[in-house]
Amino acid sequence: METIEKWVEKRPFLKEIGLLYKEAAQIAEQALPSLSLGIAPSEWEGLICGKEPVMEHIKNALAEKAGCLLENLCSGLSETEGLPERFREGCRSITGVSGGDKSFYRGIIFAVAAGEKALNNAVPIDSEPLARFLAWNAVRACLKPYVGDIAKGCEKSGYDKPLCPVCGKEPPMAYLKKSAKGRRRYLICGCCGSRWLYKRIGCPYCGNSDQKTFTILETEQEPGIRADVCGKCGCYIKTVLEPAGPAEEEWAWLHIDILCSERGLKKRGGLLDEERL
Amino acid sequence: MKVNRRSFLKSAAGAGVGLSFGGLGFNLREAKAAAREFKLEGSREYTSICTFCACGCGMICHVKEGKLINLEGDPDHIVNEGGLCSKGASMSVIPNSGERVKTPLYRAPGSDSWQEITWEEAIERTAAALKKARDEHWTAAETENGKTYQVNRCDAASIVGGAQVHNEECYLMAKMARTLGLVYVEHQARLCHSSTVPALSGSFGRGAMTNSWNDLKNAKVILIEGSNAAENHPMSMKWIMRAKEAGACVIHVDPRFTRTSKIADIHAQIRPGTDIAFLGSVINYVLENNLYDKDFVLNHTNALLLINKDFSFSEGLFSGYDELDKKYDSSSWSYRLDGFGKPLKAASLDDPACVFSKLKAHFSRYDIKTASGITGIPEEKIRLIAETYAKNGPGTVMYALGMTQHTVGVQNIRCFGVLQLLLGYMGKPGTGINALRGEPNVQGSTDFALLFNYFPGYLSSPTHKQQTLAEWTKSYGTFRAKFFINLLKAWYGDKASASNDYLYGLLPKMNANTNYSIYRIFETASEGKMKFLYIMGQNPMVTSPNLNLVHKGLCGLETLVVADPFMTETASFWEKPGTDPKTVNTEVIFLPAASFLEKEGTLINSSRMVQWRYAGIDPVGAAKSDLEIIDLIFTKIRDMYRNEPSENAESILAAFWDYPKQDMAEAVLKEINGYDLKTGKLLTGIAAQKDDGTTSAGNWLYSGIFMNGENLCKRRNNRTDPSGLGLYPEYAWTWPGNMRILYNRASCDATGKPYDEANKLVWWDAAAGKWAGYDVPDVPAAADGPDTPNGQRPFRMSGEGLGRLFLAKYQDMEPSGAPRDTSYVTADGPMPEFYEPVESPADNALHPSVQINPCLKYPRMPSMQLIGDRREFPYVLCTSSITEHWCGGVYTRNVPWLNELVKETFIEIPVKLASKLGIKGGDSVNVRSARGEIQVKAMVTERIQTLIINGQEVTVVWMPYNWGFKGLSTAASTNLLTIDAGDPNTWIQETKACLVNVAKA
Repeated sequence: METIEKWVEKRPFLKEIGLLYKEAAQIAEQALPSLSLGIAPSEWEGLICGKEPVMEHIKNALAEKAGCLLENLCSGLSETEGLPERFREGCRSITGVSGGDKSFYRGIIFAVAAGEKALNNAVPIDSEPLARFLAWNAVRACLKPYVGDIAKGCEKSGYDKPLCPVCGKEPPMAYLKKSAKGRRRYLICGCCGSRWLYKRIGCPYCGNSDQKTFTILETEQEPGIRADVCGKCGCYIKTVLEPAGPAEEEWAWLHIDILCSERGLKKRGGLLDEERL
Repeated sequence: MKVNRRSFLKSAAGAGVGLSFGGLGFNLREAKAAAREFKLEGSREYTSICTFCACGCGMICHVKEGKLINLEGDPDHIVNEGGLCSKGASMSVIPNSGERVKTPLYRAPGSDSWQEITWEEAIERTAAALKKARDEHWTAAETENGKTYQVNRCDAASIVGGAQVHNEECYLMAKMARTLGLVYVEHQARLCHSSTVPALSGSFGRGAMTNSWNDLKNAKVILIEGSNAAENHPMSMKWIMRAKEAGACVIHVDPRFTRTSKIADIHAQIRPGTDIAFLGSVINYVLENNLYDKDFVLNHTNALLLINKDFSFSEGLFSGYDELDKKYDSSSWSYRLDGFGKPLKAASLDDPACVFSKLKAHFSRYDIKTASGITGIPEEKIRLIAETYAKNGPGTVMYALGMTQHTVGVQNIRCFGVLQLLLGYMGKPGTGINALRGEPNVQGSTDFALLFNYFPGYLSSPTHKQQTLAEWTKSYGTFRAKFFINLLKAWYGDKASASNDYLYGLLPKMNANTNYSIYRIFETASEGKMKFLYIMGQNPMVTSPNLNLVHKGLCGLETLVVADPFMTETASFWEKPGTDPKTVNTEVIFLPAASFLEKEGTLINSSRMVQWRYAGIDPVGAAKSDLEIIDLIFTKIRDMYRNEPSENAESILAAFWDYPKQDMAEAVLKEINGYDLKTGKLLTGIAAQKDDGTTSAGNWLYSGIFMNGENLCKRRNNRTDPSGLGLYPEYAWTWPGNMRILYNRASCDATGKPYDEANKLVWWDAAAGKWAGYDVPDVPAAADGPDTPNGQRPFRMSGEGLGRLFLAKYQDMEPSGAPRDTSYVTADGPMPEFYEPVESPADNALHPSVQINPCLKYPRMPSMQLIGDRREFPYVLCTSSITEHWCGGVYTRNVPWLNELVKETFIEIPVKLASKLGIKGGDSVNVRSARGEIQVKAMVTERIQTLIINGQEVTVVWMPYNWGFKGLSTAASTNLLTIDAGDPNTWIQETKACLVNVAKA
C-alpha cells in the first residue's frame, strides 16, 4: 500500500486510480489467509504442459476463493470515499443483485476464468464491465502468491507462447528481469497477473522477428518503462525496466498508454483499453 | 464445460478485455494532460555477436540518436545465455572511442607523419599499387624439368587478414585475391589453428571442432590440454560447470596452474612441447590395458585394414625418409589393396599387419615412466589421468594453441584423434575433439580460404602440376571436383562452362614446391621480393613471432595497406621506437574500417554455428565496412584494366562482380549459398549441387543456409531442443546442412542402433527406411541403410569412410576407375611421434639421433632466425593470452576499463627461479632470446613449479603477448622473443616453447 502511495505521490494524476488499487489491495490482504488455492510449487509445470488449460484445472478452487474476495471487493469499494460515485454505485448494484448469495460471485469468477464472453446474465448489462474488472482483480489477487511458481513452471516446461499460460490472454506488458542469464524478458498477463519467460526480441502479437522493424519509445520522465513497438503490426508492449512498487501493474502506466494511443499505436491485451476512450 | 487448451486459448485470446477507467467513472483529464507533457524519444535494439574468441556470444545493443548507449549479453543466446566476459562486456566503448581512425590516412615513403586523404584517393592509391605489383611481377608461366606450366600468378603482392571480419568479406577477399592471381593469401589461422585442419581432417575427414559449446555439458570426463579455457574461452566454462554439476570430472594438462586448473579435478603441469609423449603414454595405457572400445574400433575405424609390407618405423624415422630434402616419400604408408583398389581387412585386431597392431607397436615405447621423464608429470598422475579418462566416458577433449603452436602441432592433435577413436569418444553427445578457435570468425576465414593452400570449402589450391580441372580431380577426386565447378560458376558466372574448363585455367597455380605462408610474406618482403601487402583486421606487428623479422619485412615493402577500426602497430611500424622513419620507404595507406557493431553479415563460431550480425549504428566518421572497401578496390582495379588492357587481366575481367550497395552482405551470402542457374532459385543444400555447370555455390559447405527464402542464420529459437542434449536445431545454422554434431553416425553400432539409447542423436529407422534423429544424420545418403556400403561410412568425408588411426595414403576409387576422394596424409608420419621443440632444454629421450621433427626446414633465413642454445638460454618460455586482452590488442588496449584490469606485459616466474635470481614481484626484468630482448615486470608465482626432466631441473616461464607501442596501453611485445620455426605440415610457429634467459634489470 505504501508503494502505491509513493507511486501516486510522484504521479498525482493517478491519485484516484491509485486509491482504487490501494483499497483493493487492502481488502485482498485481509482476505489473503483464506485465498490459498493449495497448489504446490512443483505442480505448476505439470499443469502448464498438460493437455487442458491451467484454468480448467483451477477454476473451481479459484471460483471459490476469488468469489469470496469479489464479494468483499464489491462491498468494500462501494464504501470507499474518494472513488468515483459511478464506480461505487456500480459496486453497490452488483452487491444488490447478488442478494448475498456467494454462489453468485463464484459464478462470475467461473465465467470470467473460463473465458466466457458473457457473464451468464448474472449481472445487469451496465454492470458487466465492472463485474468483469473486479473479478479479474480478485483472480489476480488469488494467483499473486503463485506468480513466481508459475514463471518457474513455464520455464521448466519450455512454455514459449505469447499467450498467458494460465488464462490464455494476450499480455499488455513485459518486464526485463536481471538474472544470472542476463536481462530476460517476462511477459505479464494483465488479467490474471501471471508472468512467463519469452524471447527478448520479437513481437508477441504478430510474431515478427525482423529486428530492423522494431523501435523503442522512451521518455525521460519515466525511465523505468519503455514501449517496444512492432513496425509490422503497429502494436506496442509496455516493458518495465525497473521493477518497483506497482510498476508491473497495468494501471500504473496509464499515461504511457495514453501517450502511445495519441501516437496511433495499438494496444493489445490486458484489462484496460484506454485508447478506446 | 470441458474445453481443450487450443479452443480455450483461441476464445480467451484477442484484444484486451476492453474495459476503461473512464468507463468505470474515473476522471482521466489530468492523466491525459500530464501525458502531453511527456516527450517520447525513439531508440532501437539490435543483436550482434562478440568479436573476440570464437564462443560466438550474443549481445544486445541499444542505440539512441545514433549512439550506442548500452550493450549487454543476449539472454536468448544458446551459448552465453546472457553472460559476457570482461572483454565482451566492455565493447560499448568501441563505437564511442576517441581513438577510432575516422578518415583514410596516407604515409608517404620516408615521411614521419600521416596525412588525411579522401576515400577516392585511398582506393585509387591502393588499386594502383596493387596493379603495379601485378604488372611488374606477373608470372604467366614457369618451367620445371624442361616443361612449361601456365601459372598466372603474382608473387609480389599479398593479402593478410580475415579472422576478424565477416564470412562475406572473407569470401569477397578470397575471390578478389584469386582472380587477381595472388597466392600469398593468409591470415591469423596460419598462426593459431592451421595445424588443426590437417590433423582433424586427416583423422576424421573434416577439419573443424566436432561437437559444440553446449554439448560440453553432456560429457562425463573432460580433458583440457593446451588451453586456458577459463580465460580465453570464458563461456565454455558455463557448459563445463554444467557438466561438473552433473558429475563430470575435469582434467587439465597445462604448463601452468591457471584459472582453468582451478576448476579442474586433476591438474598436471607439463613441460611445453611434450604433449605427444604424454598423450602417447595415455594411448599406450589404453591399448595395453584393453580399455579401448572394441566394437567402435572394429566397426568405425581403419584398425583392421592391412598396411603395406614396406612400412616401417625405426629410431624416430618412418619409412621413406629423405634426409637431404627433409621429407618423406609416403608411398609405403599405404594399405594393401584388393583388385578393386579397396583396402584389405584383417580377420582380427591381432593380425600383425593391421593398423591396430602397427599402432600398438608404435606406442608401446611410450610407457608411463618414459613419458614422465620427458614431460615432468609424475608417473602416478599420468596413470590417474589415463584411468580416469578411459573409464569415465563419454569423454571430450578441449584444446587450443597450447597444442597447435608447435613444430609438431599437427601430430599433437592427431594424438587426440587416435585416443578418441580408440575410446569410442566420437560422434556421440559429450565426446569429440573441441578445437577452441580463438578469433570471432577464424572458422569462417578458414572456411573461405584466406590461406594459401585452400580455396573456399577446403578445396586444395591448384598447383602448377594441375593445369586442368581433370588433373586437379586426379589428385583430389570427383567428389570435390563438383564443388570446384560450383565455385568457378560463382566466380565467373556465365563465362564459365564445361567447354572452357569452367575457366579453371585462369586461376593462379602455386608452385607445388613453395611455401606461401605468412612467414614467407615477411621473409620475401625483407628480401625485396614482396612489394605489396594488404592487411585487414590483423596486427602481425604484435601477433606474429620473431617480430624483428616482421618489421624488417614491412620496411622492405613498397606499399602497405591496412584496414582496421583503430591504428595498429602494423600500420605504424615506421613509428616503432628506435626506427628512423626517414629510412623507411614503404608507403602506407590506412583505411578506417567499420567495427563489428557497425556492419552486418555473418560469422561462424568455433562450433560451426553461422550467425547474423545486425548493424545498428553507422560506421564511425568516414569508416566503411570491409565488404564495401573490397568492392571498391576490386571495381577500381577492374576499371583500370578495362581502360588499359593487359594479358594478365583476363581473370579479373571475366569475374562476376556486381553487388548491390544495399544489403550487400546478404547478396554475397546468397552467392555463397549458391543458385540453381536454370531456375534462379537458391540452392537448398549441398545435395542440390551439380557437376554440369547448372548450379553455382561460392562455398559448397554453406549451401542450405537459405531455405525457402529464409536466411537461417538469423534464427533465434532457443527453446526447441527435442533431444534435451543442447542441439537447438532451430537456432542459427551450422554447416554442413545444419548438423550440430559431426560424425554422429558413429553414435550408432553397425546396425544403426544408438550405443546410448538414453542420449541418442541419430538412428536407422528401419520402418521408414531412412536415417532419422534429433540431429541431421551424418551419412552419405539418408536412405542408404546399415546393410549398404554407404551405411557403414561413419567418417564419410575420409576416403575410407572410417576414423583413421593411421593416416594411410589412400584414394577411394569410383567403379569407373576415377578417384572419388583422397584421404589426407601428414608430411611427418602416419602416426604421431614425439620430437623435442627446436629450442629445447632437453635431449630427445626416445631417439637422441632425431632430436626435432625430421621434416622441419629451419632456419629459412639464417641471419634473422637464430636458434638459441640451452646453455645461453636456459629457461622455457611459453606465451599465451589473458581474459582482459585479446590477440594483438587493437580493440582491448583501446578500452580504458580493460587497461585498468591488466595494463602491461609481464612475466610469470616460479618462486624458485625468482629466488635464485633475486627477483621480487614487480621488479623489472630483462628477458632475452636468440631473437630479441625486452624489459617487463615480474610476477613471482607458485603457479609454475620447477620440473624434473630426465633427472634435470627445467624451469618454465610464461608471458602474455598482447601488447605493442600503440593504443591507450603500451608495453613490450613478447613476440620479439618467440621463434618462427614451423610445423612441416602447415608452418605454424612454435610460440609455445622457445628458450630465453631472464635477469633482473
